[in-house]
This record gives sequence, structure tokens and C-alpha cells, in this order.
Amino acid sequence: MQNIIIGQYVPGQSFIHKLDPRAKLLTAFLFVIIVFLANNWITYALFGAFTLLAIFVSKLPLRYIYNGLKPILLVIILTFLLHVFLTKEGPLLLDWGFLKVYEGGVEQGIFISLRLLFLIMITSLLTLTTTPIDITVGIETLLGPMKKIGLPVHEFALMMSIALRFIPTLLEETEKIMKAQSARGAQFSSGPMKERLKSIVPLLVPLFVSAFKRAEDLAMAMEARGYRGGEGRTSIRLLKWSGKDTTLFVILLLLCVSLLLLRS
Amino acid sequence: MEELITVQDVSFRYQEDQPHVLHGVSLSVYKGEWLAIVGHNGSGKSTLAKLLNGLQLPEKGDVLVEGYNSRDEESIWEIRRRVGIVFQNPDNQFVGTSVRDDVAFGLENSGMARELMLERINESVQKVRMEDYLDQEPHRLSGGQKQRVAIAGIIALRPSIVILDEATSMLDPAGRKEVIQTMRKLKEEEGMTVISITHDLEEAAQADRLVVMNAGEVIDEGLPAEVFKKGDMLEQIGLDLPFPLQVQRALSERGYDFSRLTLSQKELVNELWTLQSKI
Repeated sequence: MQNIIIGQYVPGQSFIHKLDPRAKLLTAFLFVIIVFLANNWITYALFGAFTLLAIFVSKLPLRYIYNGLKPILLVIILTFLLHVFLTKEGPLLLDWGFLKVYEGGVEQGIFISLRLLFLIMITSLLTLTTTPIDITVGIETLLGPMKKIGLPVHEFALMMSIALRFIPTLLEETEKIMKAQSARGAQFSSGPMKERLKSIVPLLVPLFVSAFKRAEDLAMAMEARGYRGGEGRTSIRLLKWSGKDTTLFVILLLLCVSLLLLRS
Repeated sequence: MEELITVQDVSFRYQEDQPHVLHGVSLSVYKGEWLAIVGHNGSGKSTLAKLLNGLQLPEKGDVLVEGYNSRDEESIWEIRRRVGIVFQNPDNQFVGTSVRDDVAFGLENSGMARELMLERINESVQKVRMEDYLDQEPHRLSGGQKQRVAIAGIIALRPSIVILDEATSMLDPAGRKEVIQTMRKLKEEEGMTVISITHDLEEAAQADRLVVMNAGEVIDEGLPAEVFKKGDMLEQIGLDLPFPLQVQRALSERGYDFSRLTLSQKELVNELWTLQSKI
């Protein structure tokens, strides 16, 4: 319980770890948009190079990237198959009677799968190299201007950071309640599915009750320490935009330009 | 002595249709003293703490903190900056994701510049001896350490009064000692005024002055040595006398005479070994 890591963050000292969270967030966001510019082999190769380079620079063990991909691997395979069988373009490659595979379909399938693959890789790279709290601060600063149109940006960020702060506390509490209920004969890990689901109820009820109590206490403690909303509040967390971040944007710009030139 | 807080004839209840939690409470808190407010659960002592920094407003009467009346909406923030509260549950008052963030919370609220904040944070974590834990997350700290961080978060705002609202009741004996010693040091070195709200009479016995509450009223007030003379009264309202005092009372019943009340173990030992001594 002492060593739980919230989110997926893997500590490190690489170039990507040290980037400003705002730069990483914007890059990931832009990447999601420009990945749709790719439409031929050379542009996809360019994206591949960019993604692999980013992973290489982050010095992350590859299994972390693979772990991020695992849950959507099935989706990628399914998308590939759908495109292979349903797109009817180009010369016919295979004919199994009711199933016909065309060259265009195979190409389309590979392109779309690669697109998904790159998207997931880049976004997991963001969460793997940035602490959740840095992501929160980054989002808060980026969305800062939206406060003017009445978006509760500060409140959202505070909610996020309090949620992050209380995850370990509530996990610890869950463990305690589980032990208490087990001591009275409750079984959480055996029996038929229906029984197991039922046994969660006596776990959730005390957990919720205590969470509400905590919320009430915390609100009071915050007020006692002079909290009165985001107005006129300063922040201890400082984001520094450095040369590294500008470099990233120059690379991104170059990528954009070459994409526009090379796409067909 | 300068009077920092004046509570004048305050009555309070949480809801209109509920009975009063406080009836006509009046008391004063003086600069630089350690005031213990003792009482059984439900005696209204924690409610009183909430009235002292404007978390609740009196139904009748006034609460004045350094001249600011908690009834004025403008003064509430002045009062909260002057009176800090350390609450009972160490987990439920830790706002930040790390020690530094938590100590900064109050400073951020006051809109302080970042440079000054860093200075204040370093200064106050040193005072509670938590400077090696600045980047620690709360779930890696002990209860006593969390309470010390809470104290740091409060003294960073340079308040004149710190209220410990049952702040040690959820801690183990070691944590309790840590917190009390930290506060004693702050009181002696910085001249901090401390109000300790507790039902632990052993802790209260070390205070400069004692206020006893029962059923929403102040029933006694004075030096600990004076108040503890009325041991029966304290037991009647459901408080446990400090162990050295219990021993002394049991011995007195068996015919041993003591020259004075023994409120600490040291005092008791001294009394015991001189009891039969003819020197």
C-alpha cells in the first residue's frame, strides 16, 4: 500500500520528463489532430518515426508502452479486419466467395490501425512521463483564459488534485473495511459472481459514509485556512517554459509542414 | 495582559428547532498563554472553537478577535488569518498532494507572491522539524507528522492564536508527544497563544489556565492546580482525572496526607518519596 503509484507515471529524468506539462499537453492535442493529415505511406512513416523517436528519447522500458496498448489491441485488430473486408477498392487480392479482400482494403486497414497505434502511444507517453498533479496544473493554466467565459477551471483543478490526494487514503480505508468484513465472515474472492457482487455492498456503504464525513471535515479545514474560491489566489506550483519546450514546437511545426508537402 | 479573544455571553445552536449547544458563554483569551478548554463529548467545546474563528456565528452575543467582530462579513477573513485551527483527524485536513503543497494552501488563499511563499514555507516547516519531508505525500506520513504539517500550514500565515481542537486525540502516545512538544516550543520561542481543546486532563494539567465546560456552559475557570482541587466535580461531568492525581486521591482516602496536588508523574514521585522522610 505504501508504494502505490497514482496514474501511470514512471519517474525519470529524460528530455520528455523534463518538458513543461503544458508543452506536452498541447503536443498530444495537436498530434491527435494532425495525425489525420497522413494519407500515404510516406506520411505514415513520418509519424512512425516521430512516435518511435519520442519513445526512444523518453527512455521508458517498452513494456510500459505495451501495457498501455494492451487494452485497445483488440480494437485495433477489429478495425483492421473491418477495413480489410469491407473496403472495396483497387484490385482484388483474395476471393472466398462471400468474402472478398481488395488491395485498397488492406492498405486502409493498415493505415487506420497505425493511426490508432500512434495516437495511443503518444497519449500514453504523456501520462507515463507527467505526474497527474502536473497534468492538472497544466490543464488549469492552459484553460485559464476560459475563466472569463465562466468556466470553473480553478474549481475543476482543485477537485482533481483533492481526488488525487485522497485516492491512497480511500484505498487504505477500503482495505481496512475489507479486513473488518472478512473478520466477520464476508467473502470477497470466492463464490459465484452474484454472491461476490452482493458482498461489495457492505464494503461500499461504510466507504461512502466515511468519504462524506471526510469531505465535510476537509471543507471545514479549507475554510478555516481562508479558502474562498479561486479569486485572487496565487499558486505555489510554477510551470517553466524553457528552450526544450520551444524546441518541441519547432519539431512539431516541421512535422506539420512536411506532412502538408508529402501528403497526396 | 493583553486580551486577544473576548467571548461575550454567546449562545449558539446549529438549527432553529434544535436545543442550544452553547448557553451564555463568556471567556477571555490572553496573549501568550496556553489555555486548555476541557469538557466531555457534547459539552460544546468544539463548537466554541468554530465560533472563535468565524466558522460558525453566534446566535446571541459577540466574539471579538483582536477587536474584529466575527459578525462583520469584512472581518471574517481577518479573524481567520489570526486564528488557526488544527483539527482532530490528521487525514481530513490535509489538502495538498505533498507537504509543500499543503503548507502552501493557506498562503495561496491569501494571495501571497510565490517567492515570499517559499520563504514562509521553509521557515515554518523548520519550526515543526518537517523540513526533510517537503516532497512527501500524505499517505507516507505518520499521524503525528501530518498534524505537525497542519501546524506548519497554520503558522506560515503568522497567526496570533493556534487552536488545537482535539488535535492529539487520534494519535498514538508518541505522536501526541510530538505535537504537544512542537506547540510548547512555538509558544515559548514565538510567544504564540495556544488554545487546546481536549478531554485529556493529563494534557490540560500542563496548561497555564483551564476552562471547564459542561452542557454548553462554562462551569469553572482558573489555574490547573485550583481546578483540580475539585476532582469530584470533574469526575461527575465525565472526565478522567490524570493518573498521578488518581493515585494521590486513592492514597489520601487511605489516610496519607499530601502537601499539594500532584498533577504530573514527577510531582507524584517527589511527594511519595518525601512522604515518610523526616529530613
